[in-house]
Amino acid sequence: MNNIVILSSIQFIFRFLPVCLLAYVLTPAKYRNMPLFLESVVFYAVGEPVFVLLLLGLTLVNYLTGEVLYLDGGRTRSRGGVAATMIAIDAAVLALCKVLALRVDSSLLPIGLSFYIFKMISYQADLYCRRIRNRPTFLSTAAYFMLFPQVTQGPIMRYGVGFDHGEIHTSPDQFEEGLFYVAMGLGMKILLADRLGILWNEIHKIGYESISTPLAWLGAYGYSLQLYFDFWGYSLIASGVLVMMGFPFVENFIHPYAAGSISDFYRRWHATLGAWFRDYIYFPLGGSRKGNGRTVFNLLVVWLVTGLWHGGTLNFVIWGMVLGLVIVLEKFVVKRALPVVGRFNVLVLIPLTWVVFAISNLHDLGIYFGRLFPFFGIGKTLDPTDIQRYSTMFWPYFLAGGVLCIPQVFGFLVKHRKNFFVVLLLAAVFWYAVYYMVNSSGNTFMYFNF
Amino acid sequence: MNFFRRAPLTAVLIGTGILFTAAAFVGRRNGFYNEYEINELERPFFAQVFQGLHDKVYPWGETKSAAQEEAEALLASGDTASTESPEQVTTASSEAATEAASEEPKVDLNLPASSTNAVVQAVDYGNSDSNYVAPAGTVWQRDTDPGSIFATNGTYYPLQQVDDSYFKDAIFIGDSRTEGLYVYSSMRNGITTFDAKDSVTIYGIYDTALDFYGVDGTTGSKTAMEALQEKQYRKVYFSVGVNELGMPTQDYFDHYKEFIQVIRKLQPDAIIYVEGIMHVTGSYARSNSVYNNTNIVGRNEALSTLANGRDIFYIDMNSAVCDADGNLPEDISYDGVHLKASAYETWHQFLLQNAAVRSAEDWQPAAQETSEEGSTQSQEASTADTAAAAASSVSGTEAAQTAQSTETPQQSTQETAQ
Repeated sequence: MNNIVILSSIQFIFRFLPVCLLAYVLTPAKYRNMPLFLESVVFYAVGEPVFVLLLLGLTLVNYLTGEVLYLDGGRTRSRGGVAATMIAIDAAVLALCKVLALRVDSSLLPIGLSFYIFKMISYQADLYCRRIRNRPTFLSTAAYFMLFPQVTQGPIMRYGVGFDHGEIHTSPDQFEEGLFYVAMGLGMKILLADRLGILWNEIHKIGYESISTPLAWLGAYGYSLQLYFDFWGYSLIASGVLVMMGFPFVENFIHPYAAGSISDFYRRWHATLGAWFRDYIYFPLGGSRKGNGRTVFNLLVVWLVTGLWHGGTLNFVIWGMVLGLVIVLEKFVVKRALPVVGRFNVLVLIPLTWVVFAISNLHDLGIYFGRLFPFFGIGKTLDPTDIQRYSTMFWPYFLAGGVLCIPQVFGFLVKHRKNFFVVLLLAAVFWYAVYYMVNSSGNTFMYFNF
Repeated sequence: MNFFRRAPLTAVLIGTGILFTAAAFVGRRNGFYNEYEINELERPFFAQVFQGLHDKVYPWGETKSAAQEEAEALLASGDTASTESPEQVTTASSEAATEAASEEPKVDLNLPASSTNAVVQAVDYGNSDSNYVAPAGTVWQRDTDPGSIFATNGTYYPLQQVDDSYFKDAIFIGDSRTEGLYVYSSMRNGITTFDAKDSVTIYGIYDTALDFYGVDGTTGSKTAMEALQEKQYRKVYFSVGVNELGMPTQDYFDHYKEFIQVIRKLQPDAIIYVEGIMHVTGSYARSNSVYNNTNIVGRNEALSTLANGRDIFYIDMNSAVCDADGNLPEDISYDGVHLKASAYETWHQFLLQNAAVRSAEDWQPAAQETSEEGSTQSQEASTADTAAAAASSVSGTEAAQTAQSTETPQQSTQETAQ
C-alpha cells in the first residue's frame, strides 16, 4: 500500500485519490482545510512513517513563527531577525539531511524535504513582506506545507495561490479540467517517459565505452525527453488533482524546449523552482540592479545553490556551474547573436547538460562524453549497427515526444479538450496508461530523492 | 446529458470504467481470470481485465495460438516410435548409475563428468522469495521413462575443444543475453545462426517472433519453431530463464522440458545444448528476492537433469565468467543482469571449449585434415610400398613363372597382364 505516494500508481489513482476527493467534496467549503490536512498526513506517513514527525514538527514551528510575523504590526528589527532565524533553521535542516544522506545513509533524506522546506521559507518571506493578507490558521498552514499532491516533488506553490482567499469551491467543470490534466500527465509519464527510459537503460547495460557515437547522441536526446515527460507528466498529475479540488492550475513547465535561450529555458523548466530562486535568492541579493559584476555573482550563486539542491555529488555542482556560466555568457557576451546561439544552446547544449546531470560517476561521465565526441580515442564501438536497432525500436516515442515539445500541439489539446475526438484520445491514453500501470512495476519518479 | 456536455472526459472514463468492471465480473465467473489475485484494498476490480489483456486472456476465453497448438500436436504424435531405440537398455544402466552418483545432494546427474558441466553454485544471501524457488530439499532427477529422449543409454560423448567451424550448422535460440552474444562477440558475421530476442520467455517461446540472423547473412523475424522447421541443424543451443525468475521453478521447468521435446521432434539428429542461466552480480543478488543466484542455481540444477550426455548436454557458462562466490563480477556488468558488451567474448570462448562431437559429421578439426593428408601420403607411400612389394612379388613370381614356364609364354603374359 505504500505505493500511494507515487502519483502514477494504481493505488493512488484508484484508491487513495477517490477517497480523498469524496471526503473533500462532502465537507462544506469553509472546513475543507481539515480533510486536506488529514489526508496529507496519512499520505506522507505512509511514505515516511518516522519522518512525518519531522514534517509535523517543522510545520508547527513555522506556523508559530508565522503568527509572530503576521501579528507584529511594526517593522521592528526583531521581526526581521525572527524571519531570518526561521529561514536559517529551515535551510539548515535541509542542508543537514542532504549531507547525512550523502555521507551516512541515503534514507536519512525524507521524501519531499527540499520541496516543503522551500514552501516554508517562502511562507516566512511572504509573511515578512506582508504578501499574505489574511491571517493563516494552523490548518491552512499545515495543509499548505503538506499538500499531498505536491509534497513529494512539487510544484512549489506559494501560500497565496489558493490559501489566502478564503473558501475554495469545486464544480464539475473544475473536476473535468483537472481530470484532463491528470490524464495528460499519466500519458506523458507512463507512455512516453517510462518507455524512453528503456533506451537509457539499454545504453547503460551495454556499457558506455561500447556504444557508437550516433547511439550516444540518441541516448542523450532520449534521456532529455524522458526527463522532460517524466517531470512534466508528474507535475500535470499533481496540478490536475488540485484543480479537481478547486485550486488554480499551477504551471510548472511552460514548453521549455521552445525557449530562445538557456535563461529563458530555465524560466520555463521547473518554473516554480526557478521562480522560487529568483524571488528568494536572486532578488534579495540585488538581482541585476547592482551593476554587472554583482549580477554575474548573483547568477553564479543561484546556480551553485541550484546544483547543490539537485544533488551533493560533484557532477551536480558542475552541472549548475556550467549552466550559470552559459547564462552569464548569454546575458553579457552573446547579445546580438542570441536568437541563433540561444536556440542552439537549448537544443544542443541542454541535452548535453542532462547527460552531466544523469551520470554521477565522473569517470563514466568522461567515457560518455568520449563517445559523444569521439576525437580522443575513448571507448570502441562494438556494434556498428546499434544505432539502427535502437532507432527502429524507439522512433515512435521520439516522434511523439518531439511533437509534444511544440507548444501549439499541447495548446490545441487544452483549448479543445471537450471536443469529441480529443476526449476519445485522452480516454484511450488513460486506459493504455492503466494497462501499463497494472502490468509493470515502472520507473519511480526521477526527482524522488530530492 | 448536461453532465456529459459539461464533463465529457469524466463521463467517458466513468462509463468505460463500468464496462471494464462488468467484463471483469464476466471473466471471473467464467473462470478465466482465476489466477489473477484480487486485492480490493490495492487495486480496482477491473485490473484483472488489464492483466488478462497482457496475457491474451479475455473475459470470454483464452486464445491459444496456432503455434502452441502445433507444438502440442507435435508432442502428442509418434510417442511410440522411440521405444524401438536402444533406450530399453537404459533402465538397467541408469539404475546402476543412480546408485553410484548418490553423493550429489541436490541433483542426480549420473553422467560421466566429462560429458556434462557441473551446475555452478553461488553464495546464498538468504533473501529469496519462497514463492519462486523450489522448496528446500528438492532433488531433481532425470526422466527415467524408457521412451524418454532424456534417458541415457550408455553412450556418452565428452565435451571438448573445437573451433568456430563447429558452429556453422548450429543455431542459438534465446533471450537478450543470447542476442548480446550475437551483437557483441566475434560470433557474428557468418559463423553461426542466431534466433533471439529481448525478454522472450519459455512461456512465449512458441509465439514470440525472434530476431533471426542466418549464417549466410540473411536476417528476419522468425519464431523458434519456424526457424527449426525450415532447416535441419546439427546443434541447437537454447538459453532462457532470467526473465522467468518470477514464476515458480517447477512450472518453469515443466514448460522448458516440453520445449526441449519439441526441439527434438523438429530436429531428430541435432545435439541439443541446454545452457544454464547466467548468474547476476552479487550486489544485484543481495538486493533482490527474486532475481538472485539462489533462484537461478535452483533452476540450473533442474535443467541439468535434462542432459543425457549423448545428444542433449547441459553447459554452464558461469564457470567462465563468475567469481569464487558464484556472482557475476561487478566490473563486467553495469546493470547486474547483463554483460557489458566487451565481456560477451568470454562466453564465446567458453562455448569453444565445451562442445560435443559424436562423429566427423558434427565437426572435423582442421589440424587433423593436414595429418589426414599426411596419412594419405604415407598411405600412398605405403600403398606404393605395398604396390612395389606386390610388384616385386609379382615380378618375382613372374620371374619364377617365366623361369618355370618358358615353355608357356602365353601364361606369363597373361599373368603380367593381370
